[in-house]
Amino acid sequence: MAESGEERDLIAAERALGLAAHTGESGAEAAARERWERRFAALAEALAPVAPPKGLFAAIASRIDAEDARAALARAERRARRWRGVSVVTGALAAGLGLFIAHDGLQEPAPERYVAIVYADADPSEHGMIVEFDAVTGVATVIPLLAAAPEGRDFEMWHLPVGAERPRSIGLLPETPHLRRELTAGPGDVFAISLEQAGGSPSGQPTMALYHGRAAAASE
Amino acid sequence: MEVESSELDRLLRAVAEGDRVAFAALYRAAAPKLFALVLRICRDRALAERVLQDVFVAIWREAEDYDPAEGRAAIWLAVLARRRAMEAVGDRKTPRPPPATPGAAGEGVDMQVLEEGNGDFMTLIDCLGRLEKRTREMLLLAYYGGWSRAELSAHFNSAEATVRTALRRGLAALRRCLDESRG
Repeated sequence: MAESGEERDLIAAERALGLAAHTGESGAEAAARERWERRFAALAEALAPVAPPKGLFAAIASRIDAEDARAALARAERRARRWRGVSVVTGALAAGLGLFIAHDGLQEPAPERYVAIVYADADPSEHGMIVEFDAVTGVATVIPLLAAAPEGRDFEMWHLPVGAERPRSIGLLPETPHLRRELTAGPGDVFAISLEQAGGSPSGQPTMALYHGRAAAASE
Repeated sequence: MEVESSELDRLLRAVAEGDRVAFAALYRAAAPKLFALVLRICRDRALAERVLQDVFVAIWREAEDYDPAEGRAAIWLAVLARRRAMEAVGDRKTPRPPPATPGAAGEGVDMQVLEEGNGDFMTLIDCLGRLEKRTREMLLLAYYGGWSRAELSAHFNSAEATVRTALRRGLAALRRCLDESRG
């Protein structure tokens, strides 16, 4: 039985109210239902407000933070794959790319994001890690690019903020990209990786720093 | 209300740009009315609180889909909230508690809105006002409370088929009235 245009529109109105299911509706049917949903929505404004419980917004904000953090991590992982690819090209070109990022950052007035690419002192084509800091979310992403440390040893990460006299340990190099909330970086900060005995430096200072990189503003 | 609406529009557009301060302001401005709607449909405070969280996470994520050409921000927000509430109720393994017996037709309604109402709201109220009282009540219970035909049938002590016909007729009359008012 063919439905008239009006009948189809009334079914759309029923779907908008929730009186009929709208699974499997066509694009045109969905558009008609949405039009009714908007028409009825004016009614919602007439409701007397009811205060949501205190703390609900904090819960929403932390869910959004977690999602933003996951998105940042996914971005970082994509970039890590890209940088892993870069690390096989010649040292000069890799160094050039590092300069490109720093230069790009100077051109773009976007000081919300800082990137430090940490290279091996002995071979600038070998990347140790990338540290990204997003000043808007306050989240730093550490992307390790090194294979595991030799047996019985660990790689340890260090942060030397501009003006600080001594580097501060920021933990052992992780195996996969991870997010850090307590790490704040600015332009010119130095990040480094040292080779330590298992468990990290016993002195609280790097024993043998092998990789260094300086944070620069990055656009993107 | 006009001022308030355009403020909501401005906030929603800022949220689409990722503005967290605007998002907090939008929550303060819009959450109490959306919560009132979600609460009526869910009929369960704990569920309604979870739904309201989902609604605002969705607002944060989907604000860029808001198109002012399709209506005011308040409309977009109410559509999103009601949809989420209806979905949450539909996904529940256990049936909702029965609806509270409605009191006077105007119960829980913010009368100030009637005085300051927007054109689309006044037109809708006017057209609903022209329907038979019972049909109007059925439509309002379906919208505000998410009542099903079975629940309306029990409440109005009518066969489900009768409710179905009454609603269909009511919607047809509403459609004609809204189309004429649009002129």
